[in-house]
Amino acid sequence: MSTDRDDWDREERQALAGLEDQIDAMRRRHTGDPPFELLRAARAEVLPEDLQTSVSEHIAASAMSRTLADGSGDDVPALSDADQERLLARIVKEARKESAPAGAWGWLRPVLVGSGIVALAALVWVVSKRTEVGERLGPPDTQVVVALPPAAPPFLLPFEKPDVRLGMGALTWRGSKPTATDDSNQLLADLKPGLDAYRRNDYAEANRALTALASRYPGTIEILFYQGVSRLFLNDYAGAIASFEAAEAIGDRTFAGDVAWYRAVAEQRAGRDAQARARLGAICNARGPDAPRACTALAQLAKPSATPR
Amino acid sequence: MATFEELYRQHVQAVFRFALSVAGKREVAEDLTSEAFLALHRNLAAIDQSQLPGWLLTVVRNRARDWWRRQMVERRYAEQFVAAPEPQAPPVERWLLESGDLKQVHRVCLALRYVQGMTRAEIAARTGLTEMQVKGHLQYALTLLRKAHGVEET
Repeated sequence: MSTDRDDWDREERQALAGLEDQIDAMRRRHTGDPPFELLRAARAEVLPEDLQTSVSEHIAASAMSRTLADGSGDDVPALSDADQERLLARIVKEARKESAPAGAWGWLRPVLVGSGIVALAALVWVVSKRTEVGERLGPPDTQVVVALPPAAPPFLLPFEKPDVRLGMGALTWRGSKPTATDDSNQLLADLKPGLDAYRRNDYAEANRALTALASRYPGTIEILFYQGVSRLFLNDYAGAIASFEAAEAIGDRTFAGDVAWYRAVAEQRAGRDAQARARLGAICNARGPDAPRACTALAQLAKPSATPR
Repeated sequence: MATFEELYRQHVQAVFRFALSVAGKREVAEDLTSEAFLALHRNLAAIDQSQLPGWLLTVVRNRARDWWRRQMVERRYAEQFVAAPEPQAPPVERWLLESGDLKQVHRVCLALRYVQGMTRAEIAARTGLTEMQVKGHLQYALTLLRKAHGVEET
């Protein structure tokens, strides 16, 4: 691993000329940081407990580590077609090996199984005899109460407040009767009270103001999306799902990822786990910016009864 | 009901990407992916296919936990890290973390190269990108860096 600027090539030296001291200072500030792979593993909560705690605390405190822990976003790698086929061949080969008979010693299996059954039957008979004696001579019954540890809290999809952003449609809105002399944007003016309330965490007022606008501006994604998030904060999960459903129907690509993610959050909190899992599965399989967190969440959401080892 | 091969083709990319993100090494990610699909092959008749890909990802996660436990023993990771860097980040660092011109992949490549001090090959091995992609992302990000800090192009 490179430790200083000695391994910079000519292009890097040119690009960073005059900034070397800042680069050095930045590197010195982070010499005690966990390595990249630990940060990524901690994000997926797969580290042993002590290390998980230590690295998670670091991630919470350091913006640089958070950036690395979030990975490379939508530019995620993929298996090439050749790698995919190679891996499939490897899996099929392993699977065949597992299910293949024992070869030349295959005849021995029924003999061993038969002997095992006889030995087991004999063991059961001996133990039952001893138990009968023990029960006759043993102390009176005592009741043993086993205190079970409290059940772990159920995993909830992370829910962070998204910042307000406006799509091109809203920013360039001119209404149905644009006039050459009128440059005002009535939609932005009408959105302002609701979005201001949202910004100051007054979700009841944000929900009220945005709901009042919904019928007047039916195709406006910002109204439905921030209405949905506000309802999530108000624990109105059914209402939030309805907002996100309507937002999805608009088909705005800028908000599509966020709408799908927050709809999954609302569905999980509403107890609709199957729908939440299906939605996360779709996000995870797509190569969008939300794919990594959806895959991680999906792994954590798996039903305990179906959790494989 | 889909066949094993259909399920493999449908979910392998997502499973591999997740495996790479939790293990940080391509060869380990391939092992984890392979183990997950082998488990699916074993349980194909019993499994509710609507649980996919969550079921596969959970196998990866469980196996990754085991793998990290072994790594802990072998590599004796230091368990205490500096809680947070000192205040007063230099302007370049603030730009790296906050610039709206950078995509997440640029930030990661820059941080791995100039903060964690990795070579391009090491970055490629850990992110799953090719070395050419890493080089391209770094070149683009450095051009933006020069512009942002008022350094004239030569």
